[in-house]
Amino acid sequence: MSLHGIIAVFADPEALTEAACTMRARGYRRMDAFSPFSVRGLAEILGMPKSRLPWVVLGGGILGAVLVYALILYSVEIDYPVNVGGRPLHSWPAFAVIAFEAAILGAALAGFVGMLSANRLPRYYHPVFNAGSFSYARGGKFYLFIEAADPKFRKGVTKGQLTRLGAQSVEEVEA
Amino acid sequence: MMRFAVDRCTGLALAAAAAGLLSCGAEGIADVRAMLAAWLTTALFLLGLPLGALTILTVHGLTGGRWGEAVRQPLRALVATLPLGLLFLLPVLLRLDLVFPWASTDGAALPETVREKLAYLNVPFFLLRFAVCAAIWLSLAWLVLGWTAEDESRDRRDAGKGCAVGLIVHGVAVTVFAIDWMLSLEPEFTSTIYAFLEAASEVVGAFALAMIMLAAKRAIEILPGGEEDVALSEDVANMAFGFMLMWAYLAFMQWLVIWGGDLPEEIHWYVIRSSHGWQYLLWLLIAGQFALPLAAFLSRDVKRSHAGLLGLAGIVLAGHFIDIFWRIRPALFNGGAQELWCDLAAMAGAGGLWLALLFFLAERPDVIALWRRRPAHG
Repeated sequence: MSLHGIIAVFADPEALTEAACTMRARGYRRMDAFSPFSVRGLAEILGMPKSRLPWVVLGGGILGAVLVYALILYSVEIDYPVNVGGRPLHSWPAFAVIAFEAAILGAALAGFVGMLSANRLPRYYHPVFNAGSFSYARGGKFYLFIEAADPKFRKGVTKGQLTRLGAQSVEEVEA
Repeated sequence: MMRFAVDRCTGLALAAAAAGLLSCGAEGIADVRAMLAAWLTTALFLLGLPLGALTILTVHGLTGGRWGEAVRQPLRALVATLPLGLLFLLPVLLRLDLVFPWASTDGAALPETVREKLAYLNVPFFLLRFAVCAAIWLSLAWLVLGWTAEDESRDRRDAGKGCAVGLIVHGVAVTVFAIDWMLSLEPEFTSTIYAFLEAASEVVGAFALAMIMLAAKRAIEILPGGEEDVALSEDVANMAFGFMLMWAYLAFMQWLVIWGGDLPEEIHWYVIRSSHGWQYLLWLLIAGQFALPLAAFLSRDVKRSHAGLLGLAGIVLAGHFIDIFWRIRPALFNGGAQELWCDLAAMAGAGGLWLALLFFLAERPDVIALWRRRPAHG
């Protein structure tokens, strides 16, 4: 068992935000926060990168449309060319509808898969569940987690800093 | 400073109107038919803007939402220009036979399919329908201006019911109007989606213009929107995006159905609109009212930049004008630079007059309140 980090429990979102802000100002970078609902401004304080999911969704949409359009083109031009009422084999107005539907499907799938992978899900185990204060019975509070891998991390010093910031309890988390 | 600039714009618009109306008169003496054709196109564009504003205001009366409260003042000014828009159609009413093929005196020369429609498409019934539509719109505009007035404690429930009924009646009136004044220019052509397409198109134009009027006065990219961390400009731009997509969907559906059917009297409508130079207008229309806004509205940076928003709304409004021009003008066009000169004259004349009124109403909202006298509270 090695030390993964230290988790501090705060009673309200304001205390958590303030603690995260202070710890970041002290040079801590490898931090994470947990809360029952999204807390405004916390992501910026923790230095989370801007979400790249919109680009993934756009890419998924384009990919879906291109793939399906190519499939249609292959089937009407090469695999099974049929003259329907004298219309050209490449009847783009009709194909555009299918390509559009495929773009929506591709975008939705890309959004779903991209969200999961950005959150590193599915994941069956996370060290933070080893913390007693994070358990189902005592949970529902606002948590600040500092990784032991942080260059500024000193077990005793970090614990003291968190306590002085108003943490209800401070706990070591085993990996 | 602002007042001065608006006054100068009004002056410019009035000067353009005077010059335009003079050349309209001169052209009208030379060739009445060509002048009326050009005039009708511009008049339908201008009348469509207050009608679109009426649609948006009644829809917002039912849905609510911050975007609508923000654009309410410009939309009210637009609605208040409705009487002038209706007046613009009067010159055409005097000589319907020059513009509408079914109204020509020689009924026997019409194709069989059109002769069968003469029970509906005849001058007395046409005039009656127009009078009813005008009456509906004038009373609806009067009512809507009262419901959306900000300074009185109005009963929201009554306004909601009124908006629901008003929207239905307005929808019927726009349908009749679009079929009468636009579709019947080519009486062989039928499209059941056309009236809805016209209504959606009006909404796009009116909303784009309202966006320009709103952004010209205030920095909407820093005003708060409906949700946290969202600027008002984003909300408004997203609504414009939605309206634009609605129009694009309907326009594409009409094309898809007619292209799939490939029947001579229907596809003819598209054939004349994709040859003789009209195809360039079509490309411009697709770029300005679909491709460019589609790409730009996806970017949050554009939606949060004042210049970007103004430019985009301007492009969409120009696209809306091209849409009307592309749909209406080819049916009435005989070719020649002379006819385009008529178009310029009509745009300057009618457009200048209408813009001057719009500037005046936008600057003096209290005039609208006077026009719409408040109901007496018992």
